[in-house]
Amino acid sequence: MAEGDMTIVGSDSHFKGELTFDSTAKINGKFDGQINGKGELLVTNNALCKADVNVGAAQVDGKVEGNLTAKDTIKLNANGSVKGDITAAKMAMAEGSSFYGMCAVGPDAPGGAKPAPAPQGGQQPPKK
Amino acid sequence: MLLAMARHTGPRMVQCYLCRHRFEVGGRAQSTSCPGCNKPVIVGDLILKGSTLKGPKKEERTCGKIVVGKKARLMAEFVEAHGGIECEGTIEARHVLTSRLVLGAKAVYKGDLQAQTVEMKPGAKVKPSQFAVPEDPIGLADLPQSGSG
Repeated sequence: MAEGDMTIVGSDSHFKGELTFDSTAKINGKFDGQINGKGELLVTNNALCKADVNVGAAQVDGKVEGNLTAKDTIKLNANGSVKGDITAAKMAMAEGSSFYGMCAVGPDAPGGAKPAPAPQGGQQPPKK
Repeated sequence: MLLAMARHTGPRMVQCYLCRHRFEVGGRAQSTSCPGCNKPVIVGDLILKGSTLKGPKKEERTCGKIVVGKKARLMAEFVEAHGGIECEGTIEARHVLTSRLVLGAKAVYKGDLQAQTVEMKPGAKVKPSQFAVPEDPIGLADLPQSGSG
């Protein structure tokens, strides 16, 4: 991905407020507030993200304190830490990662994307 | 990795899940009497293969490992496995306590969890459950050869 399409909070930055993005956002420093996005959020190794996060996908190598919701996948890597609730369609959790909170993962999870219904092939639903 | 039959060769150290007393058992021991509380304890591995249904029951506890195969299902109010849990099938519990939980891509899991470490593959489903990782309420971390298979 071109660097120009990426929103980056630098490692020496402290951002307070609400962040909205479409493609990719990368938190290298500190973030307080709320994050909404359609694309992927990257929380890097030394980052601290005190925020309620609602994104398409997320990859956590640093610390997240707040609820984390993703329509697609959440990757919690070995150095990653989450204190808050996780809701996602898919989740990968590496050995060594840390997570304290409620976990709901799967297409039926409230924030997860539900798969499109299978085509019925013109059949009528059975009458009760 | 999953469904690998755990064959303990030499003697191993286990911790009683009733009184937390630590003692040594033979490598192939399945159950024994705890020298601390004189009560019978299960020290062997629980391997659920095929379309096995274990439970529903009140508790499933072992000092060894629990392996739940692809079509297998474990249902218990309380699950405790000091050697770790490997799941490719379904686990439904109210509370799970283990050293290491591995959820495969087709695993379905439900139960409040306390574990030292969790490994979850994409595709695993988790019904709403409280996770506390890493958590070691019974001190399994310093148990020698904990979870050896």
